[in-house]
Amino acid sequence: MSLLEVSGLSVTFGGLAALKNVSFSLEDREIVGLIGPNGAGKTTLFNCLSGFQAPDEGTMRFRGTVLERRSPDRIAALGLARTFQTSRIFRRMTVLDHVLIGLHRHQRAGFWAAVARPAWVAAEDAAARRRGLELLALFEDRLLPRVDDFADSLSYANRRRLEIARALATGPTLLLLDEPTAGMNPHESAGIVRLIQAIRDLGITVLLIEHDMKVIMNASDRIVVLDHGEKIAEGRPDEIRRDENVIAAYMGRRGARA
Amino acid sequence: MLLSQVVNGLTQGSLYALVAIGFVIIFGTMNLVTFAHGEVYMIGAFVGYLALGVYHLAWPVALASGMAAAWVLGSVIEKTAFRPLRATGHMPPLLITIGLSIILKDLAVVVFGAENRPVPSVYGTTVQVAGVPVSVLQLVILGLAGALVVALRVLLHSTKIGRAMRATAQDHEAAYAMGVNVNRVFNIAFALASALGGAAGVMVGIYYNTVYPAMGGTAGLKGFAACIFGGLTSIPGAILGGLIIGVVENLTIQFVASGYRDVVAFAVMVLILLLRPQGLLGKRLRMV
Amino acid sequence: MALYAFVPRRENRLLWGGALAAALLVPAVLRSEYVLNTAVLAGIYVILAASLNITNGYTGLFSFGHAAFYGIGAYTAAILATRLGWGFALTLPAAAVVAALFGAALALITLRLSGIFLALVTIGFQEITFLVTLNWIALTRGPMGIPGVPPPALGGYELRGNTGYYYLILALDVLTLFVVARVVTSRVGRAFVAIREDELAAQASGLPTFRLKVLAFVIATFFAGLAGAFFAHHARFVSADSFRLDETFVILTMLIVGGLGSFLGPIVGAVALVILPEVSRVLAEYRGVVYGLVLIAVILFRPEGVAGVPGIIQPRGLLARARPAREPVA
Repeated sequence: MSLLEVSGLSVTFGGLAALKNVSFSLEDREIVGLIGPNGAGKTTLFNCLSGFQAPDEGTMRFRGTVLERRSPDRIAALGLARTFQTSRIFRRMTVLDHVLIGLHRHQRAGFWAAVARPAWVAAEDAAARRRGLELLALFEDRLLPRVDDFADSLSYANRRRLEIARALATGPTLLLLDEPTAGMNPHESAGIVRLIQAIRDLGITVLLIEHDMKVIMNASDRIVVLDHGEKIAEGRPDEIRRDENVIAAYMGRRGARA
Repeated sequence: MLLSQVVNGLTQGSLYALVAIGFVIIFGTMNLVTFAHGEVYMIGAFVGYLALGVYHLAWPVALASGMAAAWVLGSVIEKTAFRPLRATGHMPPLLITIGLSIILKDLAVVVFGAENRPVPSVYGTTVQVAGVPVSVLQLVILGLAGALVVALRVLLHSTKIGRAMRATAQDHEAAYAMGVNVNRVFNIAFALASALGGAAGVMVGIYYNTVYPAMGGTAGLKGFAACIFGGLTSIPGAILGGLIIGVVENLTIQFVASGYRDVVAFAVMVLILLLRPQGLLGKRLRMV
Repeated sequence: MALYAFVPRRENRLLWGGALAAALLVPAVLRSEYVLNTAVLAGIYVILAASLNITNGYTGLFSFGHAAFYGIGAYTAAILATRLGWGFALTLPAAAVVAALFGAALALITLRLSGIFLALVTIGFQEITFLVTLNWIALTRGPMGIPGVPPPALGGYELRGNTGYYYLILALDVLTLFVVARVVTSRVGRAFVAIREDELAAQASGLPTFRLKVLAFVIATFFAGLAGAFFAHHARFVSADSFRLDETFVILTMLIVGGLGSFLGPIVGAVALVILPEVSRVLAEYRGVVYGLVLIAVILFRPEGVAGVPGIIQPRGLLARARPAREPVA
């Protein structure tokens, strides 16, 4: 059984087909790139997978479990995490709080425990804090020194890293990254490529939307290409690079930087 | 008997509709909600009372002065409360209108006292329309409300400022890019909505022969309830909502109990919000 | 440390311990019955503002129905006390639980909505509650209200002067603020703030946001009911007129002036706005105007209030979360 099986996925917005009969699958420990010109339907696909958009047709199975009609938090509990194209951080929460939120589902303390504070709550908090710091350490010295800073004081690049850290904290087996290197310089983008590979080495499959072709080519094992909502190509980076349909789809369009 | 209650309901409902149209204009043009609309209505009503009951002017003068006072008040509110804060989102202006509503109501209590003020009767006679007893006053009110709605439609569709308002309501950034003076449009929209509210206030005062500082609170909320019918952005929806609420209210008085009259509007509002928040006439709500 | 970040913890126990000690000494120092009565009033509003802060401040829900739950608590206590002869020790928890049950019911039905739609629905509930209370004469005596609610009798000793009431409300304040402090520094409190900051991102991070919002509502309405019970036994007369939308606006004003989303905010706001009209006769006569002006001034010049978390009131607002299709039909 594949980690993720998508078949015949279709979404229409008021007459405009955002996704048309899209099918593909993901296996364990893969890094798969998802590319296509602007408006190809990539983020819509992410929204369907993560429960923010109901597909009109098609199914998505995550380890055999159907994803349609599940709420986003249930899908996150199943092990599918995502980041957003426009950075969605909690402005007035600290960096540490973000990863602690990601760990929320792995903790138990509810209202009564909060009020009475039996001993196990402190132990649970301490364990979560340790785990949170471990996760932040994956980002070298970008986030750890800022552990108690409010997220709205972070640079744009650090905010995107923070989103990834928060998503990792949920303990996913599949991580959807939506343009993680947007706004980063080549040096930072290379760092993200290393990070994605480290994430894969942790046993997590990564599905990656990117416009930066260098990142996609370096990081991906496989690439899926969408155009106008349809899958037009799928294969290894070197195959995709030479694929005529892909080249035609990108010809004359801004957004491809190779 | 039933039919005369329906007529009562339509009369009252047309006044709710005027208040509701005001909310729709403000929300549709500026995408903002005001909690001070009821108090503007109340101020209009008191100005009408002063003109009619204290200075003994003719009722059309009372109506015009009530509308004018409400227009001015609305224009001032827009300029001081909404404009400086428009860029900051929807919450700050809304909270300011809460503050204004508290101030206006309290001022009215201090200046006029909290009790009811009597408004002299106008047109006490009754006529028969298709076998149903209808008071002349009701006919006048229905006629005036209808005239105002028609005038509004003419304004919005056939005048330059009306077109500017509709363009701004569709997309205020595009309108600005096309040379529309968006600030002026917002101000006129707010003032216009307030004037309609003021008209309703004056007519309510005449219809029930009384004005009092607390009258704005419930009227404003019922206006909200009426405009929910159209999902906050539809003028026909607001009119329909107002009329339906008015009729059902009066039928409730007749067949249930008079004390529960006000529940109708709120129960309707809650039901629509729960079942179909985009209103009965509005489009589907998109949440993400 | 910023005012909005202060929460009573073991580390700063000297600070809040000292404040508590000072509060305990107030009746010894200020012996006027009038001043003590003002202090009791402030104590009630501290509970109301602090409980509203849970939903509107920490979780970012726009509930405009708080006074209705205050009223439900007050009426529950009054009815149980005058009809069944229950003492304060029983009416207090009963009132809080009844209010919380109503809160849970309302939350379960309405929290799918957000922004202005939630605000309107809570206003609708507020008004319906008022009208039902006014008209259900058999239960509530309608417009006549319920007089003759006995004062709290603790251990056979009936509370008489304001000193007794003061210590009682102080105890209830300590209870409320203790629970609030514990909640906001916990996993649950953190989840509330995440929902306020970005509900979609919170869901994507695995938070069961609906359940959490209902919890916030239940906590808030529980304490509103608690305050209501105290009110009933203090004023000893309950009438529906005290629990209208106006009252919700007063509580909300106190909360905003003091500051949303922080521990100190509601305390500062409640105390300041209860005391302010008492400072001069003129201010007392124009209480509404004063409150309105203070609210407007705060929004214009310092939206975070005295001790609130900056950035809650701007830039995202009621309508940003749920925008209906904007096609005005005219």
